[in-house]
Amino acid sequence: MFKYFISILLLLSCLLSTAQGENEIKNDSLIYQQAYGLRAGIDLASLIRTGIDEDYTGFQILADYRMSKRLYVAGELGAESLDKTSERVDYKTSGSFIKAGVDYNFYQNWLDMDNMIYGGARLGYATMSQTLHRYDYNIDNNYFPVFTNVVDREFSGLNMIWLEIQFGFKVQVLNNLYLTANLQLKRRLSEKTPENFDNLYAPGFGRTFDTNDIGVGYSYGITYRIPFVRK
Amino acid sequence: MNKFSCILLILTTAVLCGSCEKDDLCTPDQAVTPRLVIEFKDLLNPLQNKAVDRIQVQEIGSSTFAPLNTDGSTTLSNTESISIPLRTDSSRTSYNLILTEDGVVNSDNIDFNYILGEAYVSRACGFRVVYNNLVAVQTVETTGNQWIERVIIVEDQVTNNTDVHVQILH
Repeated sequence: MFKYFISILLLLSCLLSTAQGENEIKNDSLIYQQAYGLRAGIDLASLIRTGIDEDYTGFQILADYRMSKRLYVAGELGAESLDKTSERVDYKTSGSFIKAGVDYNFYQNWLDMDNMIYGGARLGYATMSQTLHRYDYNIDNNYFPVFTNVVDREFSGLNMIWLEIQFGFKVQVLNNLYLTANLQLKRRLSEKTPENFDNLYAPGFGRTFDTNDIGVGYSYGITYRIPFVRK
Repeated sequence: MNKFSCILLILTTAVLCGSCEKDDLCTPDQAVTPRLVIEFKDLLNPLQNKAVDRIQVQEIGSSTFAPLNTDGSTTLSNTESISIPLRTDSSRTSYNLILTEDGVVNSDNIDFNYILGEAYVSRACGFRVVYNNLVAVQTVETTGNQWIERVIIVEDQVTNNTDVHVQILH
Protein backbone atom coordinates (compact mmCIF):
# COMPACT_ATOMS: atom_id res chain seq x y z
CA MET A 1 0.00 0.00 0.00
CA PHE A 2 2.86 2.31 0.87
CA LYS A 3 3.93 2.47 -2.78
CA TYR A 4 0.71 4.21 -3.71
CA PHE A 5 1.10 6.88 -1.08
CA ILE A 6 4.53 7.58 -2.50
CA SER A 7 2.99 7.91 -5.95
CA ILE A 8 0.44 10.38 -4.64
CA LEU A 9 3.19 12.37 -2.92
CA LEU A 10 5.15 12.46 -6.18
CA LEU A 11 2.07 13.70 -7.94
CA LEU A 12 1.52 16.44 -5.38
CA SER A 13 5.15 17.53 -5.53
CA CYS A 14 4.83 17.84 -9.31
CA LEU A 15 1.81 20.04 -8.77
CA LEU A 16 3.83 22.33 -6.52
CA SER A 17 6.81 22.59 -8.82
CA THR A 18 4.70 23.30 -11.91
CA ALA A 19 2.76 25.97 -10.08
CA GLN A 20 5.98 27.75 -9.12
CA GLY A 21 7.02 27.99 -12.76
CA GLU A 22 3.73 29.51 -13.78
CA ASN A 23 3.83 32.24 -11.18
CA GLU A 24 6.39 34.18 -13.19
CA ILE A 25 3.95 34.82 -16.01
CA LYS A 26 2.13 38.11 -15.58
CA ASN A 27 -1.62 38.18 -16.02
CA ASP A 28 -3.00 40.63 -18.54
CA SER A 29 -6.36 42.17 -19.21
CA LEU A 30 -7.25 40.08 -22.30
CA ILE A 31 -10.10 37.64 -21.77
CA TYR A 32 -9.40 34.17 -23.06
CA GLN A 33 -12.25 31.87 -23.86
CA GLN A 34 -12.48 28.47 -22.18
CA ALA A 35 -13.89 25.47 -23.98
CA TYR A 36 -16.84 23.69 -22.48
CA GLY A 37 -18.21 20.44 -23.78
CA LEU A 38 -18.05 16.71 -23.76
CA ARG A 39 -14.63 15.09 -23.66
CA ALA A 40 -14.41 11.41 -24.56
CA GLY A 41 -11.65 8.95 -25.26
CA ILE A 42 -10.18 5.56 -24.67
CA ASP A 43 -8.00 4.04 -22.00
CA LEU A 44 -4.68 2.98 -23.50
CA ALA A 45 -3.57 1.10 -20.37
CA SER A 46 -6.13 -1.67 -20.86
CA LEU A 47 -5.55 -1.75 -24.63
CA ILE A 48 -1.79 -2.12 -24.19
CA ARG A 49 -2.25 -4.79 -21.53
CA THR A 50 -4.61 -6.63 -23.87
CA GLY A 51 -1.80 -6.61 -26.42
CA ILE A 52 1.02 -7.82 -24.18
CA ASP A 53 -0.78 -9.98 -21.60
CA GLU A 54 -2.45 -12.95 -23.25
CA ASP A 55 -4.52 -13.69 -20.14
CA TYR A 56 -6.16 -10.28 -20.17
CA THR A 57 -8.57 -8.47 -22.42
CA GLY A 58 -9.99 -5.10 -21.56
CA PHE A 59 -11.48 -1.98 -23.03
CA GLN A 60 -12.48 1.26 -21.37
CA ILE A 61 -14.10 4.51 -22.48
CA LEU A 62 -13.31 7.69 -20.54
CA ALA A 63 -15.57 10.71 -20.55
CA ASP A 64 -16.12 13.99 -18.74
CA TYR A 65 -18.37 16.98 -19.16
CA ARG A 66 -17.45 20.41 -17.88
CA MET A 67 -20.01 21.88 -15.51
CA SER A 68 -18.20 24.95 -14.22
CA LYS A 69 -14.72 26.45 -14.14
CA ARG A 70 -13.28 23.70 -11.98
CA LEU A 71 -15.94 21.01 -11.76
CA TYR A 72 -16.51 18.18 -14.22
CA VAL A 73 -18.99 15.34 -14.29
CA ALA A 74 -16.91 12.31 -15.19
CA GLY A 75 -17.24 8.62 -15.75
CA GLU A 76 -15.81 5.47 -17.23
CA LEU A 77 -17.42 2.54 -18.97
CA GLY A 78 -15.66 -0.68 -19.82
CA ALA A 79 -15.31 -4.42 -19.92
CA GLU A 80 -12.54 -6.68 -18.66
CA SER A 81 -11.66 -10.35 -18.66
CA LEU A 82 -8.81 -11.92 -16.71
CA ASP A 83 -7.68 -15.56 -16.76
CA LYS A 84 -5.50 -15.96 -13.70
CA THR A 85 -3.26 -18.83 -12.64
CA SER A 86 -2.02 -18.75 -9.07
CA GLU A 87 -0.48 -21.21 -6.64
CA ARG A 88 -3.69 -22.59 -5.12
CA VAL A 89 -6.50 -21.27 -7.30
CA ASP A 90 -6.96 -20.78 -11.05
CA TYR A 91 -9.92 -18.69 -12.10
CA LYS A 92 -11.32 -16.50 -14.79
CA THR A 93 -13.35 -13.36 -14.25
CA SER A 94 -15.13 -11.44 -16.96
CA GLY A 95 -17.69 -8.71 -16.94
CA SER A 96 -18.33 -5.03 -17.39
CA PHE A 97 -18.36 -1.95 -15.22
CA ILE A 98 -19.47 1.66 -15.01
CA LYS A 99 -18.07 4.45 -12.87
CA ALA A 100 -19.68 7.82 -12.37
CA GLY A 101 -18.69 10.85 -10.35
CA VAL A 102 -16.95 14.20 -10.47
CA ASP A 103 -13.50 15.60 -11.14
CA TYR A 104 -12.25 18.77 -9.49
CA ASN A 105 -9.45 20.71 -11.16
CA PHE A 106 -6.80 22.00 -8.74
CA TYR A 107 -4.67 23.47 -11.49
CA GLN A 108 -4.72 27.20 -12.16
CA ASN A 109 -4.74 27.60 -15.94
CA TRP A 110 -3.14 30.66 -17.48
CA LEU A 111 -4.22 32.41 -20.65
CA ASP A 112 -5.99 29.91 -22.90
CA MET A 113 -4.39 26.83 -21.40
CA ASP A 114 -6.74 23.97 -20.63
CA ASN A 115 -4.96 21.51 -18.39
CA MET A 116 -6.08 19.69 -15.29
CA ILE A 117 -4.39 18.30 -12.24
CA TYR A 118 -7.37 16.83 -10.59
CA GLY A 119 -8.83 14.83 -7.79
CA GLY A 120 -11.86 12.75 -8.60
CA ALA A 121 -14.48 10.73 -6.80
CA ARG A 122 -16.42 7.85 -8.33
CA LEU A 123 -19.05 5.34 -7.47
CA GLY A 124 -18.32 2.14 -9.33
CA TYR A 125 -20.51 -0.81 -10.19
CA ALA A 126 -19.36 -4.03 -11.83
CA THR A 127 -21.30 -7.05 -12.92
CA MET A 128 -19.36 -10.18 -13.72
CA SER A 129 -19.12 -13.91 -13.79
CA GLN A 130 -16.31 -15.99 -12.37
CA THR A 131 -15.20 -19.49 -13.29
CA LEU A 132 -13.16 -21.63 -10.95
CA HIS A 133 -10.82 -23.77 -13.05
CA ARG A 134 -8.53 -25.44 -10.53
CA TYR A 135 -7.96 -25.46 -6.79
CA ASP A 136 -5.83 -27.17 -4.17
CA TYR A 137 -6.62 -28.10 -0.61
CA ASN A 138 -4.80 -26.44 2.25
CA ILE A 139 -3.22 -29.46 3.97
CA ASP A 140 -0.53 -29.49 6.68
CA ASN A 141 1.03 -32.86 5.79
CA ASN A 142 1.76 -35.01 2.76
CA TYR A 143 0.97 -38.48 4.08
CA PHE A 144 -1.70 -38.90 1.45
CA PRO A 145 -1.09 -37.91 -2.16
CA VAL A 146 -2.17 -34.31 -2.69
CA PHE A 147 -4.69 -34.01 -5.48
CA THR A 148 -5.35 -30.91 -7.45
CA ASN A 149 -8.98 -30.43 -8.38
CA VAL A 150 -9.66 -29.51 -11.96
CA VAL A 151 -13.21 -28.28 -12.36
CA ASP A 152 -15.17 -25.86 -14.47
CA ARG A 153 -17.44 -24.23 -11.94
CA GLU A 154 -19.06 -21.07 -13.18
CA PHE A 155 -20.61 -18.46 -10.92
CA SER A 156 -22.63 -15.82 -12.75
CA GLY A 157 -24.67 -12.84 -11.63
CA LEU A 158 -21.96 -11.52 -9.32
CA ASN A 159 -21.54 -7.83 -8.67
CA MET A 160 -19.57 -5.29 -6.70
CA ILE A 161 -20.09 -1.67 -5.69
CA TRP A 162 -17.19 0.49 -4.63
CA LEU A 163 -16.13 4.03 -3.87
CA GLU A 164 -13.08 5.33 -5.67
CA ILE A 165 -10.81 8.35 -5.49
CA GLN A 166 -8.56 9.36 -8.35
CA PHE A 167 -5.54 11.60 -8.65
CA GLY A 168 -4.32 12.48 -12.10
CA PHE A 169 -3.89 14.98 -14.85
CA LYS A 170 -5.38 15.82 -18.23
CA VAL A 171 -3.06 17.77 -20.48
CA GLN A 172 -3.96 19.39 -23.78
CA VAL A 173 -1.33 18.32 -26.31
CA LEU A 174 -3.04 19.49 -29.51
CA ASN A 175 -6.13 21.57 -30.04
CA ASN A 176 -8.93 19.69 -28.20
CA LEU A 177 -6.77 16.56 -27.87
CA TYR A 178 -5.77 15.53 -24.35
CA LEU A 179 -3.50 13.02 -22.63
CA THR A 180 -4.81 11.77 -19.36
CA ALA A 181 -3.41 9.58 -16.59
CA ASN A 182 -4.50 8.78 -13.07
CA LEU A 183 -4.00 6.61 -10.02
CA GLN A 184 -7.02 5.08 -8.33
CA LEU A 185 -7.65 4.03 -4.76
CA LYS A 186 -10.86 2.11 -4.12
CA ARG A 187 -12.84 0.77 -1.24
CA ARG A 188 -15.40 -1.98 -1.67
CA LEU A 189 -18.83 -1.11 -0.27
CA SER A 190 -20.83 -4.19 -1.10
CA GLU A 191 -20.57 -7.27 -3.27
CA LYS A 192 -22.35 -10.43 -4.23
CA THR A 193 -19.87 -13.24 -3.82
CA PRO A 194 -20.12 -16.74 -5.25
CA GLU A 195 -21.22 -19.42 -2.81
CA ASN A 196 -18.26 -21.08 -1.11
CA PHE A 197 -15.86 -18.95 -3.14
CA ASP A 198 -14.90 -15.28 -3.35
CA ASN A 199 -14.68 -12.43 -5.84
CA LEU A 200 -10.96 -12.51 -6.63
CA TYR A 201 -11.17 -9.91 -9.36
CA ALA A 202 -13.77 -7.40 -10.42
CA PRO A 203 -13.84 -5.47 -13.70
CA GLY A 204 -12.94 -1.82 -13.06
CA PHE A 205 -12.00 -2.59 -9.47
CA GLY A 206 -9.04 -4.84 -10.10
CA ARG A 207 -7.85 -7.68 -7.91
CA THR A 208 -9.19 -8.00 -4.40
CA PHE A 209 -7.22 -8.75 -1.26
CA ASP A 210 -7.93 -11.47 1.30
CA THR A 211 -7.64 -9.23 4.31
CA ASN A 212 -9.21 -5.89 3.40
CA ASP A 213 -11.66 -4.05 1.13
CA ILE A 214 -9.07 -1.93 -0.66
CA GLY A 215 -8.38 -1.95 -4.37
CA VAL A 216 -5.89 -0.04 -6.50
CA GLY A 217 -5.55 0.77 -10.15
CA TYR A 218 -4.39 3.18 -12.78
CA SER A 219 -5.28 4.28 -16.24
CA TYR A 220 -3.84 6.44 -18.97
CA GLY A 221 -5.43 7.37 -22.20
CA ILE A 222 -6.18 9.83 -24.90
CA THR A 223 -9.34 11.94 -25.10
CA TYR A 224 -10.91 14.41 -27.49
CA ARG A 225 -13.14 17.32 -26.56
CA ILE A 226 -16.11 18.20 -28.69
CA PRO A 227 -16.40 21.90 -27.85
CA PHE A 228 -20.08 22.81 -27.65
CA VAL A 229 -19.61 26.15 -26.02
CA ARG A 230 -16.83 28.66 -25.42
CA LYS A 231 -17.00 30.96 -22.43
CA MET B 1 9.70 20.46 -20.09
CA ASN B 2 9.22 20.21 -16.37
CA LYS B 3 5.66 19.08 -16.92
CA PHE B 4 6.59 16.31 -19.30
CA SER B 5 9.26 14.86 -17.00
CA CYS B 6 6.57 14.94 -14.34
CA ILE B 7 4.15 13.02 -16.56
CA LEU B 8 6.84 10.47 -17.32
CA LEU B 9 7.56 10.03 -13.62
CA ILE B 10 3.91 9.39 -12.76
CA LEU B 11 3.47 6.95 -15.64
CA THR B 12 6.57 5.00 -14.64
CA THR B 13 5.43 4.84 -11.03
CA ALA B 14 1.98 3.68 -12.07
CA VAL B 15 3.36 0.90 -14.27
CA LEU B 16 5.77 -0.24 -11.56
CA CYS B 17 3.06 -0.31 -8.92
CA GLY B 18 0.83 -2.35 -11.18
CA SER B 19 3.42 -5.00 -11.85
CA CYS B 20 4.98 -5.59 -8.43
CA GLU B 21 1.91 -6.42 -6.36
CA LYS B 22 2.72 -9.21 -3.97
CA ASP B 23 0.45 -12.20 -3.78
CA ASP B 24 -1.18 -12.77 -0.43
CA LEU B 25 0.57 -15.37 1.69
CA CYS B 26 -1.07 -18.39 3.22
CA THR B 27 0.09 -18.26 6.83
CA PRO B 28 0.02 -21.45 8.95
CA ASP B 29 -2.59 -20.11 11.37
CA GLN B 30 -5.15 -19.75 8.59
CA ALA B 31 -7.79 -22.42 8.29
CA VAL B 32 -6.24 -25.71 7.27
CA THR B 33 -7.80 -29.09 6.53
CA PRO B 34 -8.45 -30.51 10.03
CA ARG B 35 -7.00 -33.74 11.34
CA LEU B 36 -8.78 -36.40 13.32
CA VAL B 37 -8.01 -35.88 17.01
CA ILE B 38 -8.06 -39.10 19.04
CA GLU B 39 -7.84 -39.26 22.84
CA PHE B 40 -6.91 -42.41 24.75
CA LYS B 41 -9.11 -43.19 27.79
CA ASP B 42 -9.17 -45.78 30.50
CA LEU B 43 -11.72 -48.56 29.87
CA LEU B 44 -12.51 -48.92 33.56
CA ASN B 45 -12.81 -45.21 34.12
CA PRO B 46 -13.68 -43.50 30.81
CA LEU B 47 -13.33 -40.02 32.33
CA GLN B 48 -9.67 -40.70 32.97
CA ASN B 49 -7.03 -40.26 30.29
CA LYS B 50 -4.82 -43.29 29.85
CA ALA B 51 -1.61 -42.85 27.91
CA VAL B 52 -0.43 -45.47 25.42
CA ASP B 53 3.14 -46.77 25.70
CA ARG B 54 4.30 -46.43 22.12
CA ILE B 55 1.98 -45.87 19.19
CA GLN B 56 2.29 -45.81 15.43
CA VAL B 57 -0.49 -45.40 12.88
CA GLN B 58 -0.41 -46.79 9.35
CA GLU B 59 -2.96 -46.70 6.58
CA ILE B 60 -3.79 -50.14 5.23
CA GLY B 61 -1.74 -50.63 2.09
CA SER B 62 0.73 -47.90 2.92
CA SER B 63 4.40 -48.53 3.66
CA THR B 64 4.92 -45.43 5.77
CA PHE B 65 3.54 -44.27 9.09
CA ALA B 66 1.14 -41.37 9.43
CA PRO B 67 2.12 -38.17 11.25
CA LEU B 68 0.65 -38.11 14.75
CA ASN B 69 1.08 -34.44 15.57
CA THR B 70 1.82 -31.17 13.81
CA ASP B 71 5.59 -31.74 14.10
CA GLY B 72 5.19 -34.78 11.85
CA SER B 73 6.34 -37.39 14.39
CA THR B 74 5.28 -40.87 13.33
CA THR B 75 6.02 -42.59 16.64
CA LEU B 76 4.85 -41.25 19.98
CA SER B 77 5.61 -42.69 23.41
CA ASN B 78 3.50 -42.29 26.52
CA THR B 79 0.97 -40.06 24.80
CA GLU B 80 -2.67 -39.36 25.66
CA SER B 81 -3.76 -38.08 22.25
CA ILE B 82 -2.84 -38.13 18.58
CA SER B 83 -4.06 -36.20 15.55
CA ILE B 84 -3.95 -38.02 12.24
CA PRO B 85 -4.84 -36.93 8.71
CA LEU B 86 -7.85 -38.29 6.84
CA ARG B 87 -8.02 -38.86 3.11
CA THR B 88 -9.37 -35.96 1.07
CA ASP B 89 -10.09 -38.06 -2.01
CA SER B 90 -12.10 -40.85 -0.43
CA SER B 91 -14.88 -41.04 2.14
CA ARG B 92 -13.04 -43.78 4.01
CA THR B 93 -9.66 -43.92 5.69
CA SER B 94 -8.66 -47.32 7.05
CA TYR B 95 -5.99 -47.21 9.74
CA ASN B 96 -4.00 -49.76 11.67
CA LEU B 97 -3.27 -48.44 15.16
CA ILE B 98 -0.11 -50.23 16.25
CA LEU B 99 0.57 -50.35 19.98
CA THR B 100 3.88 -51.57 21.34
CA GLU B 101 3.67 -52.46 25.01
CA ASP B 102 6.36 -54.41 26.90
CA GLY B 103 7.93 -55.39 23.59
CA VAL B 104 4.66 -56.88 22.26
CA VAL B 105 3.32 -55.37 19.03
CA ASN B 106 -0.48 -55.29 18.73
CA SER B 107 -2.15 -53.87 15.63
CA ASP B 108 -5.88 -53.06 15.56
CA ASN B 109 -7.80 -51.82 12.55
CA ILE B 110 -10.37 -49.03 12.50
CA ASP B 111 -12.22 -47.73 9.43
CA PHE B 112 -13.16 -44.06 9.60
CA ASN B 113 -16.07 -43.22 7.31
CA TYR B 114 -17.27 -39.68 6.69
CA ILE B 115 -18.85 -37.37 4.17
CA LEU B 116 -16.38 -35.04 2.47
CA GLY B 117 -17.13 -31.32 2.35
CA GLU B 118 -15.07 -28.47 1.04
CA ALA B 119 -14.85 -24.87 2.17
CA TYR B 120 -13.18 -21.88 0.56
CA VAL B 121 -10.44 -20.35 2.74
CA SER B 122 -8.69 -17.60 0.82
CA ARG B 123 -6.94 -16.73 -2.42
CA ALA B 124 -3.57 -17.74 -0.99
CA CYS B 125 -4.65 -20.91 0.84
CA GLY B 126 -7.20 -22.21 -1.61
CA PHE B 127 -9.83 -24.56 -0.20
CA ARG B 128 -9.87 -26.95 2.74
CA VAL B 129 -11.72 -30.15 3.44
CA VAL B 130 -14.09 -30.71 6.35
CA TYR B 131 -15.41 -34.12 7.34
CA ASN B 132 -19.04 -34.61 8.32
CA ASN B 133 -21.00 -37.51 9.84
CA LEU B 134 -17.92 -39.32 11.10
CA VAL B 135 -18.40 -43.03 11.84
CA ALA B 136 -15.74 -45.40 13.17
CA VAL B 137 -15.92 -49.13 12.51
CA GLN B 138 -13.52 -51.41 14.30
CA THR B 139 -12.58 -54.63 12.52
CA VAL B 140 -13.31 -57.54 14.82
CA GLU B 141 -10.41 -59.97 15.12
CA THR B 142 -11.33 -63.61 15.45
CA THR B 143 -7.93 -64.62 16.78
CA GLY B 144 -5.47 -62.81 18.98
CA ASN B 145 -6.36 -60.07 21.39
CA GLN B 146 -7.44 -56.55 20.62
CA TRP B 147 -6.01 -53.69 22.63
CA ILE B 148 -8.79 -51.31 21.61
CA GLU B 149 -11.91 -52.12 23.60
CA ARG B 150 -14.22 -49.37 22.41
CA VAL B 151 -14.24 -46.52 19.92
CA ILE B 152 -16.50 -43.57 20.76
CA ILE B 153 -17.29 -40.71 18.39
CA VAL B 154 -17.36 -37.58 20.54
CA GLU B 155 -17.72 -35.08 17.71
CA ASP B 156 -18.88 -36.26 14.30
CA GLN B 157 -18.13 -32.96 12.53
CA VAL B 158 -14.38 -32.75 11.97
CA THR B 159 -13.85 -29.05 11.30
CA ASN B 160 -10.88 -28.07 13.46
CA ASN B 161 -7.84 -29.40 15.29
CA THR B 162 -8.82 -28.23 18.76
CA ASP B 163 -11.88 -30.45 19.34
CA VAL B 164 -11.45 -34.09 20.34
CA HIS B 165 -13.35 -36.15 17.78
CA VAL B 166 -12.78 -39.73 18.89
CA GLN B 167 -12.10 -41.47 22.19
CA ILE B 168 -10.42 -44.84 22.29
CA LEU B 169 -10.96 -46.90 25.43
CA HIS B 170 -8.25 -49.42 26.21
